[in-house]
Amino acid sequence: MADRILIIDDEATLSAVLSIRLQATGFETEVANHGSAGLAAASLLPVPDAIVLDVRMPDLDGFEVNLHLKSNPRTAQIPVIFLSANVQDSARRTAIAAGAYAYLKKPYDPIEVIQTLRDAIQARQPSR
Amino acid sequence: MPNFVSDQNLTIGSKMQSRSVEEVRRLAIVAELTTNAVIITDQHKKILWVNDGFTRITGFEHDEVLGLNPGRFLQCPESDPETTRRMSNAINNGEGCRVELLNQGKDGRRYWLDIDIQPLLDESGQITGFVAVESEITALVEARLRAEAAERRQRLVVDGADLGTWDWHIPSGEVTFNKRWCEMLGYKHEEVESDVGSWEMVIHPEDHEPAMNALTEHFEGRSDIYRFEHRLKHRDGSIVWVLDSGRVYEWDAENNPIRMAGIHLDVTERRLAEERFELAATGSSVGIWDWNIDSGSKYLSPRWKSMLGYEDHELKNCFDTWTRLLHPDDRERCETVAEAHFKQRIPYELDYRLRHKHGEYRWFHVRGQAVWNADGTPLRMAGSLEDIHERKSLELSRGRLASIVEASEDAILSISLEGVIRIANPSAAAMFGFEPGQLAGKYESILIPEDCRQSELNAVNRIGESTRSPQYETRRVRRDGKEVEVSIVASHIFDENGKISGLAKIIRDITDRREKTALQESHRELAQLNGLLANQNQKLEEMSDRAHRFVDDVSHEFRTPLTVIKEYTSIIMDGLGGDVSEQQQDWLRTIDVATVDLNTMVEDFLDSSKLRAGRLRVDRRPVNIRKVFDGVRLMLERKAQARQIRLVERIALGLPTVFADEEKVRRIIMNLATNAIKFSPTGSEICISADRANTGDVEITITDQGQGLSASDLGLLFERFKQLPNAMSPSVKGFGLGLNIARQLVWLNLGKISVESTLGEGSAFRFTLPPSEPEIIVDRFLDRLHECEDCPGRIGALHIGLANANSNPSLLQHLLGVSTRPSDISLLDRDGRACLLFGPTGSIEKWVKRLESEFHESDSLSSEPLHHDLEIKIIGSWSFIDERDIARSSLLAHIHRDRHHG
Repeated sequence: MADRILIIDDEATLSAVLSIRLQATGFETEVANHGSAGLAAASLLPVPDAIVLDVRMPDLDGFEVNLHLKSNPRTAQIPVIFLSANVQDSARRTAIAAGAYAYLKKPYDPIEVIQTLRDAIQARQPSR
Repeated sequence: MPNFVSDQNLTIGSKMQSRSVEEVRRLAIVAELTTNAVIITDQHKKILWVNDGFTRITGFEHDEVLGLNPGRFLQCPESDPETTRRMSNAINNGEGCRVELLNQGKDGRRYWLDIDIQPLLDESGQITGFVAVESEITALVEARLRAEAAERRQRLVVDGADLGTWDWHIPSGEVTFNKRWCEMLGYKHEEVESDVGSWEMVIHPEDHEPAMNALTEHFEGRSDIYRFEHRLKHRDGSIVWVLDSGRVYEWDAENNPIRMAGIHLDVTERRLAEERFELAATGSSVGIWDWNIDSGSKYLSPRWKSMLGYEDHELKNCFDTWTRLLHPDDRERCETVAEAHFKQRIPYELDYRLRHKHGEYRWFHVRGQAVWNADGTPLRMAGSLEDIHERKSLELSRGRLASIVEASEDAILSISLEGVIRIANPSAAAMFGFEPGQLAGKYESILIPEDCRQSELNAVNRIGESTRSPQYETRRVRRDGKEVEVSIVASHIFDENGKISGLAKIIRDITDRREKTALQESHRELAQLNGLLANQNQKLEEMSDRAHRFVDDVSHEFRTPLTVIKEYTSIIMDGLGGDVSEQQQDWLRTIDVATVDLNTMVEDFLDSSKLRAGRLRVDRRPVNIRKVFDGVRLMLERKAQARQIRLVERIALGLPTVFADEEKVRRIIMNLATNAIKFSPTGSEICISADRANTGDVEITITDQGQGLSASDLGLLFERFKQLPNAMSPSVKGFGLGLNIARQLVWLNLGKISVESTLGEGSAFRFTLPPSEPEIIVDRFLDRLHECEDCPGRIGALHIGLANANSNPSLLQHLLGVSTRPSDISLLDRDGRACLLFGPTGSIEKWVKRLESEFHESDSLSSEPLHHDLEIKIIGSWSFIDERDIARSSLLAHIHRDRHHG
């Protein structure tokens, strides 16, 4: 069974292209176009194996979404990989401090993203 | 001799038949042995017998005098005839007698005898003879006579000295008064009864009781001598003042006084004089004092006391009364003046304060005169006391006023109605260029310029128009002809009758004031400007913030579409959308490179903005250079591949760990290498190498085989926003930020960047990084500060630790990175503490405060606040112009000590 990735990003074109890339690599993807939709997807649909999360979003920003995910036992264990155009160190530190698995910058290197997702899912394997 | 006695006994015995033989015998023995002279005569005074005592006293032998009349040969011309007559009378009458008589001996010696003569009677009572017992009393009598002579002389003195005497037998009340005593009161000696009642009759009723008190005091032994000045009534009704003094000279066994003697001295004259003076004194508010220096008694006149609010009896007449009332601050002055008077006879005259009964001190003027004895010791001092309180107060307030006038910075002139300056204070003299005191007597007009005189007159005429004195501004001319701007307040001076006697002018030099006002004005303006500047500064800071945020936002906004473009290009190229022709693949690669370039530009733009705003965080740690190369290799290889450029990497063996921010070093290499790739022709080689420079630093070189740079181009190379004109590669794009950013990042990593280039052959960009050795890091830090010309101020060094962060030493590093400026350097020790070097700085304390607050803020903002306890210790602060060497050695000493401890 393929690993399911939830992509939460308000930039639909980017979600779409990342989705194509990930599906081509063998992932199943689910796309949410803003923060609250992402939370809804994470709780209603089958639990994803990893989440790719944007930071700047209109309703809930990525940090808030992450906080909700981490505070819900159902979703707390899902590895979160931030993918943001915000290249400030402080944002990166905040994300890592808040329990994110990784913080990757846009424009991203697709190979790096795929590798990070694989690593993250792999890291969770023993507990599954 | 015994035989003789016994013979004589028989002879006598026969004549003294009334007495027993035994009695006579005993008497004979006594008569024989006594030291007194014993003479026995017959009834005709012829000597029958004398004893040895007689011979011893008179010098006559027994046999020589037998049958003689003793008076005939023993009496001398000086013998008192009265006594001899009395003696012969008694004998002739057959009576006994006892006399004291001067006799002479065989050798003519005079001697006094106490002679006791008794008749010898027979049984029938007939006189048969006489017996005389004589004892010598010469010494006694002479002493008495001397005493009598002395007394006589004394009496002469007493009488001559106008002294009345009295001798009082107290139990009986009998008093012997001398003549003078009686005459003093206008009586004859005989008219005065020798009784104490005589005195009691004449004493002034008011003085009787105090006199008795004084006597009682003496009788009870409380006073050694009775002394009391009192009034007696003269026969003519007038008052006689006497100084009465006396002493008990006989006491009985129970210590009761028996006899007392004394003298009266008439002191009426003095007393009257004193009273007259006192009367006069009362009128003129002068008090009298009379100080007996030896005894300490000090007579203080009633007026003296009343001047201080006391009744006569309320203050004791003693020196202590005065000292008690004297103002403590005046005591020393009094003593000095008195001393000068006593020793140098300088008049005793001064003002001092005495405490009034009401408690306040009043001013008095005191004059005094001492009386000295022969050897110059002052015995007595008397003088007057005058209440000058009102005058003194006035004087003091005038003095104060005068001192105000003296000290005033304004010129103050008193001008007579004729226009002559009467008084000018020192400021006036100074203001108009005169010596102090020179202005008085001159016409005021010399100070007034010609063209100001009319207006001066007008101003003066306005005096009195209102209650406020007119104030006007005009000019005055100095002695040297220079004019001064002045402001004048003029008023009238009135004499004691209220008539105008002159003008007072207070003149202020306002050239000065105008300057001052101007100065104040410019101060105010400066303050305003300062405020404005601060405001502007804040605005600029805000603008800079906004600008930076804008750049941040723009780069963020750029990134998203860039990512989209890049990512779609990428999936097409990867064939995810279907087959791509060779031509299409080529075009897509061009899009991709352009996107990467655009992204680099955006990043450069952002970095440049950060660098300019000083927002770039620098996190320097010991770093292995190989690890840095690993971090850039992949990306550079891709870029190089895209342009078909070979990338060669060379790292020398045994390179030391460098002290640097790894990410920044990666950026430097990326920027320089990207630049090299851009300007290198296809198929060329780019070499990235790391070596040890001879300075000890690690040197990283990026060498290309591009077109190279001209000498003039080299100078412009690192200038921001300048890109060299480059005809050879029209495809190269960019803001030219890359090199500049690299240069700044190298600078932040305590390194140096340089370029070598040969036109047409290629370029080599080099930069250095310091090895992670404290000596070198400190040196580089100091060098770098020295390079910046516009950094006055100081180097500071702090020792910083987190009390509860031992488990996570990088936390401190992180916090320091956030809180310090990019140019500040922190050296972490093994205990997780840091030595922070920073500069330029002003006040190190202020800096510590700022650091603490930023630490705190940064900590509270982090997702997991640690509430760590920050420990900041000041290591030192030095001027980095003059104290570089001191700073270096101090810092290294500190760092090494820490290492050893670690």
